[in-house]
Amino acid sequence: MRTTGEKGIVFSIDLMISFLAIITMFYLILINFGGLAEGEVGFGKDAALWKNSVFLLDSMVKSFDENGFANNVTYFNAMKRRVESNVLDYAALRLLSEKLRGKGDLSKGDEFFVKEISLGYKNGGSETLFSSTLQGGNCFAVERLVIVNNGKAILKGVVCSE
Amino acid sequence: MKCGGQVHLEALICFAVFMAIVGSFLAAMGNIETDAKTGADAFTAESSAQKCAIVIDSLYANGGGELDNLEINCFLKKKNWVGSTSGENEKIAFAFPNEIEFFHLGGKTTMWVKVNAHYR
Repeated sequence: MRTTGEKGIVFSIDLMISFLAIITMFYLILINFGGLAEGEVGFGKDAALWKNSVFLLDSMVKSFDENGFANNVTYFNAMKRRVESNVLDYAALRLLSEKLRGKGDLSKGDEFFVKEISLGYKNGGSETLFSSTLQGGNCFAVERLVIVNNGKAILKGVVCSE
Repeated sequence: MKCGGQVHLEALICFAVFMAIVGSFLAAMGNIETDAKTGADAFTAESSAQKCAIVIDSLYANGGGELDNLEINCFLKKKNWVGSTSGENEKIAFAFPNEIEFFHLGGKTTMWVKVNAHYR
């Protein structure tokens, strides 16, 4: 058996293989470090999708904006002269539904789209107001307790990344 | 049995290879530092833009209004989109209101979000 002393250290096959193994390990560690920052930005995109899902339904049930994205469905109490939070106007919901169906999908740029908006009633029945045929990546479903036609219901929104 | 000249040559080659490895390693460490800084800037810009969008959406869902002395570094990029920069990185985030305005006066930033007809 030949030793490194006889052939010289740089010519030893055993040492070369060991050296390559160590360099490969270093390389994999460096790739892992590089992936950490990318992973953080990816996590940010999920957080943004979650934020958009929550605030879509939050603005739908609490605020009124006739030129808004989808939040022109809150009930306006003429006697109190104000919009009533968590009370939805069923007629406005149907109008929104028709508007969305005509549009085909409810996309807002390249970040997310609304996959579904539906109502679940206390008696177990449900009504899908809007459903998109688009296939999404990650999806978040958010539910809010609302009052529609003087009865309690669950408004459900599903928002997906494109 | 090797002669002295061959031993010296092998030692020289070993040293040259060792220095090349050390050089490559230092260059890789430099790249990691640059990548980490770029990644940190991207994350800072992304989180600032998202924080700004969250504040805007919160105002929007609660009747709109204005917020003085805004401490988040953000600006209106285009309709429904706010942006933030950190280093060379610029990130944007979606916000629901159609009408958002930023006023910069005396080093202070005021944000205004309009909601139609919450009270009539």
